[in-house]
Amino acid sequence: MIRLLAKPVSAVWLLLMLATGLSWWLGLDHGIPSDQPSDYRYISSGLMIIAFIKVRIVIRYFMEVREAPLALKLICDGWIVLVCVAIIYLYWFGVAI
Amino acid sequence: MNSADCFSAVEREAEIKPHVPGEVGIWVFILGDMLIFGLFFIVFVYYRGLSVELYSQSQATLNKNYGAINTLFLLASSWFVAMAVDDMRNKTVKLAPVFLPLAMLCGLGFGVVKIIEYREKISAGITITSNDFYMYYYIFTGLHFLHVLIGMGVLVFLWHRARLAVTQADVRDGAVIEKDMVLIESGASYWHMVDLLWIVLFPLLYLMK
Repeated sequence: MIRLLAKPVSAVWLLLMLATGLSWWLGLDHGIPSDQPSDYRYISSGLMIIAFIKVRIVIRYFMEVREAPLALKLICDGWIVLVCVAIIYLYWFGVAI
Repeated sequence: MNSADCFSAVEREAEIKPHVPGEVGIWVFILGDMLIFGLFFIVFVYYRGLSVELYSQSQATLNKNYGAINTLFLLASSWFVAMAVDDMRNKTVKLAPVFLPLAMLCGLGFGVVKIIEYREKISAGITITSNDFYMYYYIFTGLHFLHVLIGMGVLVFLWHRARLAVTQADVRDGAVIEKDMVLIESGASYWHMVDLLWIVLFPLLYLMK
């Protein structure tokens, strides 16, 4: 069992579980008054960045794309960057479009 | 050559030879699915920006704990599957017949929480037609749930192959045939994608204020 937990995939999994706990905690109300929505905006942006870091870890370690040809690595990273940037951009400036 | 040299030689070979995990076809499907869900995420955030108040009020009725527990279920499930694949690739096939049912159990846990959550919402009178937020909530989580159900079928298939490999192991000195490994990696990659999509859906629907 200890041998299993020593594998990189297990260390990464532990990190993902902790990141989920952190996201859940960040998503709780922390007594920020509702007349300061900009504070929530930083938290929300952070939550999305954490989520896409988790996604990259899942792709690299669980889906084993770290050993895949460069093209597949680039497509996956491209998806992560595009979708993450689009979400955060629309979240901040969406209505202005 | 000592064992450390052997290990580094194997590692070097793995570094030199890139390897697509599973069939190329399954990756076309996975990337297509990711593209569609990526568009879903973007559409959701855009429309959220047009009526932030409505989305925030509706989101406040969702139970964050359910979302978080389900993320943990899928992550645990993915770990079991990754370990099972590793086990079969190493041709030991000791863990896979145990870890794949455990992965299914986590998937089942996800399903149970999801059904409890849907029941609570529906009994509170919240349905797909209540407002735009709930429309996206039901469509996105519903489609994702469909992926989970298909994934459960995939896990049953992987379990079947793992058990078959155990019986074959006696005959072929632990050799799991190459074709099987491609199928197993394909199924595992699909299951990890189901996990990946939920990792984004959770903050997007439950947490982003």
